[in-house]
Amino acid sequence: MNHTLHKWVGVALALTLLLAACGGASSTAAPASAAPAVAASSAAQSSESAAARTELIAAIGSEPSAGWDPLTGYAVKFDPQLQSTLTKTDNGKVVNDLATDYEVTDSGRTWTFHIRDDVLFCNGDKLTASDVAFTYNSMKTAGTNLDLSNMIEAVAPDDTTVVFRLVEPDYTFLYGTHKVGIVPEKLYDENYGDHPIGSGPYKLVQWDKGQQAVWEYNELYYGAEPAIKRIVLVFMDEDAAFAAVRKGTVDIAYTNQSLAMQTVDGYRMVNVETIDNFGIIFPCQPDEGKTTEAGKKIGNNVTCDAAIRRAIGVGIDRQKLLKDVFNGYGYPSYSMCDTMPWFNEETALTSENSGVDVACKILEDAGWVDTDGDGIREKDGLKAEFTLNYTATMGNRQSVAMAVAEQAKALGIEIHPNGAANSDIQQVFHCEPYVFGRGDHTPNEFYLMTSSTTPGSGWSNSGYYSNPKVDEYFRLARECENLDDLYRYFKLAQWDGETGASLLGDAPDVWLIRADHCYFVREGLDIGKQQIHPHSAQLSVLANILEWKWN
Amino acid sequence: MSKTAWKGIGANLLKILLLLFAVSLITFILVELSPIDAVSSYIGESDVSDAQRARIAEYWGLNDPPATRYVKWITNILHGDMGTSMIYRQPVIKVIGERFQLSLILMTISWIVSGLFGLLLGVVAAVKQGRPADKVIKVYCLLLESSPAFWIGIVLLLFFAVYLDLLPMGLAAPIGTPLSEATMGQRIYHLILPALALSLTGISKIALQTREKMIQVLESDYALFARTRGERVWTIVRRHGLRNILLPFITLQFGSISELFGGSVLAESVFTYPGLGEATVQSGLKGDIPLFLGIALFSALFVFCGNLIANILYAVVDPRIREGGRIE
Repeated sequence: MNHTLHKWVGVALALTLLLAACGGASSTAAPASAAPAVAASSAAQSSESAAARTELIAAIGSEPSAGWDPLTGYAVKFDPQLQSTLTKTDNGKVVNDLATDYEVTDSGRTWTFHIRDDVLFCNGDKLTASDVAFTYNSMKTAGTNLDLSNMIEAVAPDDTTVVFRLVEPDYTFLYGTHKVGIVPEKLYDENYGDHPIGSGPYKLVQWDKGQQAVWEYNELYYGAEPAIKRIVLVFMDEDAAFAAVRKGTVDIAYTNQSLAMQTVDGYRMVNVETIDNFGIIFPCQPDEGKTTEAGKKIGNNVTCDAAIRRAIGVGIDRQKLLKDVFNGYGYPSYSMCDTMPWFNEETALTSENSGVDVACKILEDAGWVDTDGDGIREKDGLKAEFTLNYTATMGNRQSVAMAVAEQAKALGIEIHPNGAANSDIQQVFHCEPYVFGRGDHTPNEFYLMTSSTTPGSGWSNSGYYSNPKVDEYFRLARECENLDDLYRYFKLAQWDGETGASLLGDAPDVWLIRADHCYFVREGLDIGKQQIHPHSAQLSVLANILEWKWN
Repeated sequence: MSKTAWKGIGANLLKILLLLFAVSLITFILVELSPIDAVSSYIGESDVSDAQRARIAEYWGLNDPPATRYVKWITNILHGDMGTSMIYRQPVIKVIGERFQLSLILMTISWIVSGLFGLLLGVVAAVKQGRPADKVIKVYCLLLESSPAFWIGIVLLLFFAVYLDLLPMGLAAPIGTPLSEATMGQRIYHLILPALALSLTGISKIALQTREKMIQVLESDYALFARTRGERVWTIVRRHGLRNILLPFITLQFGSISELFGGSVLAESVFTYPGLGEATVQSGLKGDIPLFLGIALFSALFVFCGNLIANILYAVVDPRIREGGRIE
């Protein structure tokens, strides 16, 4: 008897809960304010004068799970916006932000930066050089992706001067300074990531983990005042973001190249040029049975021949690749530094030195001939075939691998695409080529990928490429004392007339295309002139947030 | 309380401890054996020098041999310190606590709804066995059972949130409103779709099992006897059926708690609902060992408690068990 009673009580409770849910959905009070809340507020805003619209809802990146703390890895690849950096990048050129000037002394081992003296954190505290020194010194031991092992220490002799001492001279250190957001020395603790105090144009006012974060304009910011005073960052994956665009609940959303083909009322598609390069990294050493300390095999007898690499480099039709894989959203790329100030434009292919015929000639001249009529070239009994790995979870890389394999048939090269997890690719990347993505506003990337000193450090120069001339140029570049020389040496490392690490020379990496980053942007939102985005999109689109406005 | 009661509690405590110890050991071994290298996952595809890599490993205490790390970790847990999550850089207890609150609401609602509707559909199908209603329910349940939870979630999302524009498409609160300021109504409004998605997958199993058991009851001798006395089918169901399927139902219902955890992972991904499931996926994929192990232990404890409650309920519900016997 009691059991039945208990059961009915339970049922009644459950029903009440359900009714509350349904009732909640239809009642006018709460949920009417929920989803329509955003629409209502934006409708209200659009009915007001254009100048009054100052809010923005953006689904453009993923959440910094470890918090908004540069020392736990926030914003290594893009402008933090919540904090300031010593310098910023403008399409690869260096622009002062906190810094007013800098000088390099002691044969490139000492860098002295002077900083502005009118900078305040968003809580009113003054930002001094000791905050900068603190941030850099802490970053050195912080265990993030930013490598400051070449820095001995940073000191602040006075409130507006910071001195960095380096182990080895390295002019590319300058580029590192636009990656470090400055945190306040006095207030920094392990909870900084939840409540970051910074001197950037925006401050974090609210963060619902896993869902959204709200930024508001920092009135104490020393730079120009933005038109957008409040930004709600929503963390959704691309499909959910697209659904939000269809519903009209976000103003800007990052999307992929397939969804970008769709049209949505009230939105336009903005595709931003990037150096988000897709390319193939080749093993450059012959297989002599050597392995690394960890037992990984080194060398590939087919790809160690520069003719094979160059043939693929000049023989692949990049426009076709762009159309097939990225629906045309992108540009061909010939290096990992196209459009950057250190790019050697001579190495960009023209119609004379590229194409299937040119590639076939390169192969024939090097001795790769199809002797048995099976469509695959041989040389000294070795067939021109190899496995091409790609990160299985990345659809774009898979498509690139397959498209390249298809096109390589016309060159007489047999490629076997193989999807695998990154950790598996890393086990064989010294002996098997793989599709990769790379590209940033710093020359350091090119150095890491082609210097003979870097193999063994993660993904850097996994092919064990080694060219003494290239190394010599890198050495000169690191020891030089101004940007023009730096660019000049880097260009020489790509091609100096006889040799180099580019398509005209050894082609250790063959870069194929730069994929655009695509965004759905609501009509009326002006996102200014976008810089060329680096490899990972994240919040890069906000780099020029100070120029954004509603029309 | 009686001595047997104390013995019962003692036995259960021992069971929990043994279970948690076994789970911790096995999970730790599995994580060690997995090819996911925590440092590599963290670094991703950035260029990081070997020295920096070593520094990162050192920072997270990953340089010690596995046995040492396990012992360290276990001793810390016994002191109440579950370690710090690598991804979120916060104490594991804090991460689990924050996220579990949201998951708990979702799971509870789905659990109740799937139990209720499963029971209802199962009973109706059994009573109307062979007739159209039964066929419809069977097909419906089999369809649901064969569909992956995330697919159901995406279909619901597309249908209700995009085409019909009736419900929100994700998150736990409206965009721009902090979770703490969201009203109860708003929170429930955002819960409807994920709860629906999660419930739908649980309904079918319970419905089909309930149907089987109820059919058995309706074909039993006492049901036949009741019918010869002139009782109508629904009275038989109410008086005899429900209480006789109660035991299997409780077993199923509380057993489904473990599935809720798994299902919530999918529901939370589709609807961007920041619960524990989402954290589990992230910690697994990125090799965040402290968090992953913490969640494993926590969910083991949770499921154990669920089954324990089921055991207690058997005694409450069935006098035969209460009297110390077993079901014949």
